[in-house]
Amino acid sequence: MSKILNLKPLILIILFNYFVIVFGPQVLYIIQINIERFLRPLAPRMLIGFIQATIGLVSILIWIFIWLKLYKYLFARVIKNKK
Amino acid sequence: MLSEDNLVIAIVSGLLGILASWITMKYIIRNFVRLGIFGIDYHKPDKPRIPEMGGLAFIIGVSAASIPLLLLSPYFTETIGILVTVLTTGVVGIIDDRKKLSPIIKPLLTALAGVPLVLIHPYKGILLLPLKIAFRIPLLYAIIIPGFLAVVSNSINMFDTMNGTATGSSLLTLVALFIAILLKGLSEEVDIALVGLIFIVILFPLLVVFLYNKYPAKVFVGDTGTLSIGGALLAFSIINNCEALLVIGLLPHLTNGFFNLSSVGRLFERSELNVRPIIVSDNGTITANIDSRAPITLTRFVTALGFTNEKDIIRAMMTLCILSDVLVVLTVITGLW
Repeated sequence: MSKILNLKPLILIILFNYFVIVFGPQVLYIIQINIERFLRPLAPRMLIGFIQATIGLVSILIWIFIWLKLYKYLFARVIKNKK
Repeated sequence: MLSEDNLVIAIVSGLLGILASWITMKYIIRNFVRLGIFGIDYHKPDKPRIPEMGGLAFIIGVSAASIPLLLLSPYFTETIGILVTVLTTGVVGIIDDRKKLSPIIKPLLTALAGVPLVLIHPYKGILLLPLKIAFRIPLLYAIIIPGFLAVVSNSINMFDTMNGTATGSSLLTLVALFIAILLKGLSEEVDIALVGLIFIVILFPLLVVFLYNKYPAKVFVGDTGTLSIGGALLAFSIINNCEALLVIGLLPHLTNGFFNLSSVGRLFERSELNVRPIIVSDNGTITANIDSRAPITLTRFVTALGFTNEKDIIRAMMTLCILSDVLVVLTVITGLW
């Protein structure tokens, strides 16, 4: 059991990704709907689509960036403790 | 619908799958070292020679188990979808095992192996995400499949670092997906016969392969095995419209694959690495390499966390896989998917 608890950093990464996969699409969906509602009277349809696609892509990149940083940070901490 | 006919098909298919993969496995173990098809188990102190390409038993097992379904069941398209994906990814694996493919050609060929599945079209073209978000994107879906196949197959391939990790974790994911779909069937209409039959086609050959590949391994599955197992899992999830659950089930694999690539900075083959992620001592103790140039693989992370012998590392990796597979089932139980 104590050995399993050693896996905490990796469990944290899995849980982080799990919550992003489960709740991320819903959050993104709400953002996209609101962009559509807000911009419909102001901008042409194509521009709205472009903005939505950009925000979708940026959100995914932010997720990957946090995932990468979290993994590297936790690994560096483990290696530092080991030294 | 579950009927007596389907039950008979399931039993015959299961028996054929076990028999074909078991006979093939026996042949591989008896002859492949002599034929020069073997790998060295570097994590063991005596560095034994282990027969490679044990994945052939999975491919032949799935092929044999598919026959009753193709001849007698009404699920011809779905079965041929699974079979063709296993065969095409298997061929890529065989080529890679015999003549090392370049790190760019391999994922490209694996993606190409998904084209027959797109053409056979045993899916609905709806991307079902958690919290009941569904996108009807038939054209985009067809484009996504090859890419998704390359990611899934190669991440399972990269997870094959210790005895039985790739086969054992894939087996767990398959069972978790099956349970999740059955649970989904309690609240929504699901063709249980279809799910059960294609589950059996994959399950028994995978089980046989795992029993020979688990610690201490009597056979290595090779790229032949890992890529074709990835193909089978992907086809199973696409036919049952549970791609999001597959991603959750494969989180340890995807994390491992992603950090392999990001820490090296490009696509690579294991043999190309100048600095190994782990160091194996003469007595079999495994430690994480503290050289900053070494890729941050999951195995390296696990060893850095204090797991220093092969058996413990395998247990730790399987614990992570069990966690993600439990999350798959919990997602359905809590109504999130």
